[in-house]
Amino acid sequence: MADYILQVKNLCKSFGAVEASRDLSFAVQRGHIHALIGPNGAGKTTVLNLLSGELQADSGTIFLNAKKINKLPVHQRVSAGLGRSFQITSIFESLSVSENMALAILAGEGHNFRFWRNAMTVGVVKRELAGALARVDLSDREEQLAGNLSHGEKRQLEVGMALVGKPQLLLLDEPMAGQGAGGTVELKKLILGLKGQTTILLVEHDMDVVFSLADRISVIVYGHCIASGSPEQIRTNPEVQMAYLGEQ
Amino acid sequence: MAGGVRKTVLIAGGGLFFCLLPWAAHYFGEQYLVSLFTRILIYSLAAVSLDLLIGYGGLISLGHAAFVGIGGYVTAIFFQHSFEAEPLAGIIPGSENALLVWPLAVIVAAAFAFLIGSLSLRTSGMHFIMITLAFAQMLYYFAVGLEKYGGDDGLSLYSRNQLVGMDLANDVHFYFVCLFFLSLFLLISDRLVKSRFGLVLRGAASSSRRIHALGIHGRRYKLICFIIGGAGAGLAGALLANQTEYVSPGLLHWTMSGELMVMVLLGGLGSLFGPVLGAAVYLLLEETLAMYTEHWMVYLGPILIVVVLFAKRGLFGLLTHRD
Repeated sequence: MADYILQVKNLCKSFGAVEASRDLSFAVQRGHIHALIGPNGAGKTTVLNLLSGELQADSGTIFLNAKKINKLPVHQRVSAGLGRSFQITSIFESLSVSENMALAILAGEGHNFRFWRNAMTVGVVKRELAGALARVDLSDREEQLAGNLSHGEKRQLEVGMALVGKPQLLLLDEPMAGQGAGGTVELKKLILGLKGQTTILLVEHDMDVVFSLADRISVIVYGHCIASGSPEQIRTNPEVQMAYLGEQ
Repeated sequence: MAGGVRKTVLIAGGGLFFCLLPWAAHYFGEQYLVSLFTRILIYSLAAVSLDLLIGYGGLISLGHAAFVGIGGYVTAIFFQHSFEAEPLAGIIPGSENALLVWPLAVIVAAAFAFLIGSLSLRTSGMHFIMITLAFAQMLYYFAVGLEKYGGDDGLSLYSRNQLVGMDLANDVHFYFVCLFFLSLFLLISDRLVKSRFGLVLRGAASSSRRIHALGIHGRRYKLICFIIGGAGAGLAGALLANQTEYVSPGLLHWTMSGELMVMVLLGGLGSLFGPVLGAAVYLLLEETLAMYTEHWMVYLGPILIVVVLFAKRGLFGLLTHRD
């Protein structure tokens, strides 16, 4: 039997009359890069919000490592091993790049009610900061205010911060959005490099990226998962073709 | 000169200036300068404590005067009970001992900050501004209704508090006590904003959604910041009551909160040392302009607008940054 890190069962979420998730079920195997695709407005971001805890499902269950997490608040889900990067980059714009990263490092280090010592000289920050910045190619930008980075660099920083907590499952929400061609190549390399270190659930529009990166793909249409399988299976699935062709 | 060096020079220069001021005042025979600058030191303390909230916690409080007022009233009320030798509520004796009353003023202000902060922090943005304003105005009217302690007319202390080894009635002694507390609070605040706590706090102010995604409960950090700010303002209130030997509900009025906010903006939001400069410039302008006209606000207004429009980092930023 496959080792599932994440299992989503019969998830439902409505916003008024709009059913954003409709009896949604899928599972993610440990170590995989698993992609969620679907036409615009299919409810992919809603799924990520339900997983991360920013939204509460109306019904259904979410298991992370066979543990029910659908009632937990956001920060407890993070402690349970969930990391997330957002569709709209939301780094700390008024902090420097290294402060952003230090914050991510310290977040995993117990409580932060330490009032006297300079945060940047704490042992764990000194040990991990350089490596964490190098991992996402930001070593030469450490003194910059994060708000002054280019769009691609912001995304790099964000992924780097999500990685610092060593999440068991990393939720990546459209990492390629707004990237130039060069950025896409860089980020693809970065994500492939993460394979084996963590499991990734990827929501992405760029089909080239999805089909070249993903081990498994789930297709969501109108909040419902209509197919899950390998890229090859998905490519040849008639229902999926219908959904995408029907849209155009 | 690099920004960091300019900043160090400016702070060291400012420190030296404040240290030497009483001698300079004596030399030039302008003794009133000592009490004017004492006032500046005390307002600076209150403004720095507000800068912690606004500049680092992202907490735009329009009710900071409440804590200044609470600190002042605690000092005055204990003085009154000591003076009349009548225990407070029949059991708690009054006191004129600074070592007792000032910490108490700080604690009571912090306790109120805890209460007000716990409730206010459930909101954010415009609502936060309004709710902090509402709490402060509530306390203002409460003070107006305190008939036992002077109500509308306020309450006089007949002398300053007693402090071991110091003669607070001596303006120069009192000046240095205020300078000491301002320096101490600046040191604590400077360490605080660079600490782990401060880093999380600034993060939470920048993006509360992101701080949540890191698994951190941002509101607790903001609450502690609110309490520390309230405590600093409480100390400023206790000192102010001592300087003027008088407290009145005006200390808690929203115009006082507004003045403190202007000092922070004028000096430079989120710079800690900027608000000291802001308080000095504001009070010196007030002092000078008031000599010519009682409508001095008419002249202060445009100056403020120019600073806010053309120096986003305030006067302190203007002097330390060159873009």
